[in-house]
Amino acid sequence: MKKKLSLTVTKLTCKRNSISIFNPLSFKVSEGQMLIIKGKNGRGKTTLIHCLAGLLSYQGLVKWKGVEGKIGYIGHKFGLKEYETVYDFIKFWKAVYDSKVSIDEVVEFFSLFNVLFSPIAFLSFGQKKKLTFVRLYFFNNNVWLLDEPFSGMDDNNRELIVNMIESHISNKGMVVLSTHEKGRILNIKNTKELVIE
Amino acid sequence: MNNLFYIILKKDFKDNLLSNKAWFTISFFLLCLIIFPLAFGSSQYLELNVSISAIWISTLFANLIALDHMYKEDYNDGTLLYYIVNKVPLVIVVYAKCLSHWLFSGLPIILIAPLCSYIFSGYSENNLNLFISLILATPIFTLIGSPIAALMLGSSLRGAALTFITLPFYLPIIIFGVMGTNINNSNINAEFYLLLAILSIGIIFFPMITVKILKSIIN
Repeated sequence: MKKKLSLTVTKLTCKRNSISIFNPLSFKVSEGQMLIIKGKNGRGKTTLIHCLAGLLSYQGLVKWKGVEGKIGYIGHKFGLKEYETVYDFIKFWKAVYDSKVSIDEVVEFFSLFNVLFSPIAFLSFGQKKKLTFVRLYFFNNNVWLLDEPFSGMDDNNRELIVNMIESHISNKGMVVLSTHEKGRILNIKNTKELVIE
Repeated sequence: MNNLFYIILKKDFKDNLLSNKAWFTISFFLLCLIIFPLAFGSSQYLELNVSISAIWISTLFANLIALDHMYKEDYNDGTLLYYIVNKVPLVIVVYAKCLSHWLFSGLPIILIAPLCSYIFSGYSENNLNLFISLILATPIFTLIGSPIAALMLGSSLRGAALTFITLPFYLPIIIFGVMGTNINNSNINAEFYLLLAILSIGIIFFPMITVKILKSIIN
């Protein structure tokens, strides 16, 4: 039987250079739910996401249940090589993840026809950011950790990402995303908000 | 697993070709070699027969120069981070990186060095020994350098520190390498066996250490 997906965090703190970045946090996220982490700059949104991804050592308890395979992650660093072409980038990560999704499908979904064979250095910031989402598209994981996914994106790309997230949530996935923007971004009912003071 | 190794090796090879940094290594080696006879004055150079030493010194420094950007780019642009979060086995990444580093900073030197030695000194007796000891020593250079290059990733004075930390570990290799090259009696090859021993231990241990270091560096 498949375990139900859930994330339970109790009294999580993270210390760097013996200064704790945020006060102890406790929350629970379950299947088909989205957690929006809000807070001003420098309050530890990225640190929290890194703790959840297991990149940083932390105090407290982070308990994942029912995670299938890898955790999807989008961070501030894009992991793109400037001299590589977009096509090479897509082909490489498809091979690394051993994905069954075809390249044509990705190109069509992200509408990359115009830039497919140009080096990544020629792309704009928003286009580069959009490319990092190709990694999420490739493998079938149920947890996404997105660090500021909307920064630097125009309306079209924003809509694309929103659609991706909405369809992911409706497929019983889980999304944890951080943002510093106020107001509602997505039209997802099952949303929790966590404000880091 | 095998497939992943080839994919990452291919990508790394391509990165090296395109980023032009790897070409610097081999051109540095050749430049270094050309300077030696000029600095000695040709007749004295032939007399001293320092061409072997010149080749070894150039090899060492060419390797040191290439070491700096072994993991640097992947660390800076976040590719390493994505490897770790998405649980791509780091051992494979490290082995692929080591091999591609050797293909650009070891293999060309191995191929060119005997020719250079002949051109500069006029002797060809030592060439086979030089070839064998370089084949054994250059992978060891790469393997020893790999954990140290990983260790220096977060540091702000990486260039100088990397050189100073790596050099002492290279010294035994260069000592045995030069001794192995200068053997006159070809029946006794103790130095080669020693280098081979270091290589066979190092090929397992150094990548393992590198993986540990890379994981902790990301934190």
